[in-house]
Amino acid sequence: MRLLNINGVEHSVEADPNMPLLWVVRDLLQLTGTKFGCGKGLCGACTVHLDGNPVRSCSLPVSAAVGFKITTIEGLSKDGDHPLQKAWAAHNVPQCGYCQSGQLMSAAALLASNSKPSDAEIDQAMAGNICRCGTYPRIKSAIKSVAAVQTYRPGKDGGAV
Amino acid sequence: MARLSKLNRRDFLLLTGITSTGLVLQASINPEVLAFANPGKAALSLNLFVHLATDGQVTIVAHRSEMGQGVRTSLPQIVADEMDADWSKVTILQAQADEQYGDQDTDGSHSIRSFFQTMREMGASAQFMLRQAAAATWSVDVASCRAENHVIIHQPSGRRLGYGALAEKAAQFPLPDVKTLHFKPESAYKYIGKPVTIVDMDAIVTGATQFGIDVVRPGMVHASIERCPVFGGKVKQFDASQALKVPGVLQVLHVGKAVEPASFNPLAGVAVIATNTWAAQEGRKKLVITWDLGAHATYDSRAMMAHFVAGKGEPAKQLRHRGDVDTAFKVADKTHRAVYSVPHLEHATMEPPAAVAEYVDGQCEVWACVQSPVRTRDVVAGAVGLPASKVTVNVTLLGGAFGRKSKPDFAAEAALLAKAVGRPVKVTWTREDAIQNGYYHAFSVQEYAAALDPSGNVSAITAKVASPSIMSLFAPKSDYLADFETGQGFANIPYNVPNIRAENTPTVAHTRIGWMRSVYNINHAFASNSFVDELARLSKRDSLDFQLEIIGADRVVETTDEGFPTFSYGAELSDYPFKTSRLKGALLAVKQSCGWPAKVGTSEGWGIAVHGSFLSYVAVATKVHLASDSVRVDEVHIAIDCGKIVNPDRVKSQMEGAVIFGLSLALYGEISFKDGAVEQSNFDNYPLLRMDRSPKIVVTIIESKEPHGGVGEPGVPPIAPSLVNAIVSAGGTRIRDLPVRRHYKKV
Repeated sequence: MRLLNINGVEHSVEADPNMPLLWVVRDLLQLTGTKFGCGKGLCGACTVHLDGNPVRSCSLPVSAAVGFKITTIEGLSKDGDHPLQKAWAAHNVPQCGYCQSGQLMSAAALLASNSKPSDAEIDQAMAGNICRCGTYPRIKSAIKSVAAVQTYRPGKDGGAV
Repeated sequence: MARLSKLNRRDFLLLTGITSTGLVLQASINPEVLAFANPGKAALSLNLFVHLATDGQVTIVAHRSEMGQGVRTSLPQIVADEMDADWSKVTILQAQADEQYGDQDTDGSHSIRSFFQTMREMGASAQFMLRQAAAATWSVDVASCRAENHVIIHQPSGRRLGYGALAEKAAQFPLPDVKTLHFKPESAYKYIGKPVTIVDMDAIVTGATQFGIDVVRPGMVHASIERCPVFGGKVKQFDASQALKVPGVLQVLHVGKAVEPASFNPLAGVAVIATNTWAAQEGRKKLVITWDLGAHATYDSRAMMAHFVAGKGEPAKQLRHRGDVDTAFKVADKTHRAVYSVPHLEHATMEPPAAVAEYVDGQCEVWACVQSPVRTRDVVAGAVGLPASKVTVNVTLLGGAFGRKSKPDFAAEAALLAKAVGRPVKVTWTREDAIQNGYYHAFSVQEYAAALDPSGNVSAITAKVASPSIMSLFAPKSDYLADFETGQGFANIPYNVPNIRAENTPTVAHTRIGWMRSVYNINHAFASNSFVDELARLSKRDSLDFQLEIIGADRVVETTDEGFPTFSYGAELSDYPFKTSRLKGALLAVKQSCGWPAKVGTSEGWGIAVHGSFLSYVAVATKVHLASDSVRVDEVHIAIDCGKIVNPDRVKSQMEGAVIFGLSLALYGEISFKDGAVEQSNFDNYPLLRMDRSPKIVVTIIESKEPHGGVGEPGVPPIAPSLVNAIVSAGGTRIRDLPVRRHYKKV
């Protein structure tokens, strides 16, 4: 029996310790917003947060997620009103939408740790998320639009970013 | 914003069955219109549904599959506009597989052109009946009542009634004759031609979407299938003893069979059934299977392509001949020859193929991310031995498709397993499954040759192609390409050259060949645009000017008199003549966009290409930067003439997407077979373009009054040739065999 804290809720889960968090979340808890794309941490569709840090849940055994605050796309905001979610809509980012949960989670983690990323920093943070439909230019514009209006945020070590 | 509706068929019938609470509008589609839009299919009278509830909520049925091209938004936009509906009161209902809706096969970039008029009629009919209802309520002339944003207004008195209040009365009127309908002038469009946000936006950004892979049914179990690595091979025997020991694994059984031609039959394999996806995948790793790999076990695709590159193919069949090519070559001052190769490719949809099926009491229900719901129903019915009437297909959102999900083998797998196992089954393909057991884009080897006269003019062009045919899926001995394949820019190259010949070398298929976003246009545009660029440089001419000149004077390109029936994607030729003026117009638009010939730094260069496909015309200019052994794509300008459009933002996004898709295949794309099996397996060895290597993209949508042309596919073909042409401009090597990463280490 494992206790997982997902989106602020404690879940009791019976799972093999090696079962990837992705499949615990999707199959055992029926939170299907986090997607499967490759199973090898290569495409980013499965990105979730552990204490705000982005991880590829397809390659994270569930035993390693115990004790962390896990956030999935469903928990990114209360009412779909995270600034990035609003920017995604304002910039008409998605096409098929399948990769976008992972894109948003990676982007949210980036902005939480670096409120004014350069183009190169955005590229680096987002290079792990594949979009087959080709929405990269709009993802970048959406991220930059949020960064432009963000106020100062402390970096991980408490210093300015 | 329009909301998603997850009504299933039972709920919908309940809703529409209560005829006293609303207007359910059906439209009959003119069977002749259907017949020419879908040659070969039986003419049927079709019905599309608009439901108006007494609370004013409008439900519009989306009968085409949504894979990111925006069709769940664009077709309903048309209805809502002619209906004068308030878009915020519109809900979309995805249609199940049902011939009543007409052609649901979402393939070939023709949703808008095939259904634009019908959707207008739907909206205009509803609006007229609402005006009739208001006129009857007020005892006034219908002519004095106008519609505006979900309300009917009596002009003289200013009285108003909302659509909800009028719904019941409107339902009592007969459907108006479409010939009497009045349509809005384009100047009055509120939604058509506007960048309406996609209806699924809220769901996508909150993870509330339901793709095929997300469907959950009560009592459902999961299946992961080990399929024969070689096409046409079968299971000799298997040992499941270790697999069954994996916690969560319930059962292991045969599924599919080795069938040739393959059509949409599930491949031969062994399925592991488990309580969750991961357990099924883990169980599968423990299977011990002995395969009879079959006749295709020696397939080496690189060797086969090399065979054709060396000119060792069998005698070719002539497809088209203008003038006298042989004499032109005899008297030529100079000749130039080049061979171009494009390898097999795989769709790599982000959502791998996945489907759920339930089989109970001689009925089968399927939930799947399919582009062709009716074909899915028929394939599933055939697989499980039921009449089609006993099979229901629910269409989910598609996490990318590009043609892969037109082939419903994965839905048949789910149905077969559901029947065998006696529980709902979800089949989820892994990434490796998708890459190794796909329906592959056909490789092609194309030999081009030109004869130049003493003035340096091109007097003759010959082209010969060796490529396996999609028809190999359906008929044995399909070693020659079909007209729909060579008509995609090979047997109908649009050049103003007095002597042209096109030939096809027979090529045997050793795997499942399938159509992938823009299909053979990829191969043909790569060869023709590369060759024309080579000829330009030989003549020391500017590439763009040379293209314009070799395309020649404004005229309609037809090839019937030259032996090849003029091909126009199933559309009426008189509606969609292939106009060289539009091809040149696209080139000139992209020239203006990128400032050709633009100043560049050292090791930088621009390349140009243009191609007409799916009744649209697209030109691309690409800028690259070369460093020692590396290529970086800095900028891509793309201009499309697709005639009239419905949603400009979706057209722009399709062009952006086509650039990324086209660059992926040009820079990285290769599926190679060795000993019958695919050598690639995941995104480490079948890479796709990522954000950090993506260029700046500039899109031009050319304003046009021409009828609606395709949008989803036409952007792809010119990308690869413009890229290789740019590399030459930047001082790099002339790449004639894709992908670029075979020639440059860092791309």
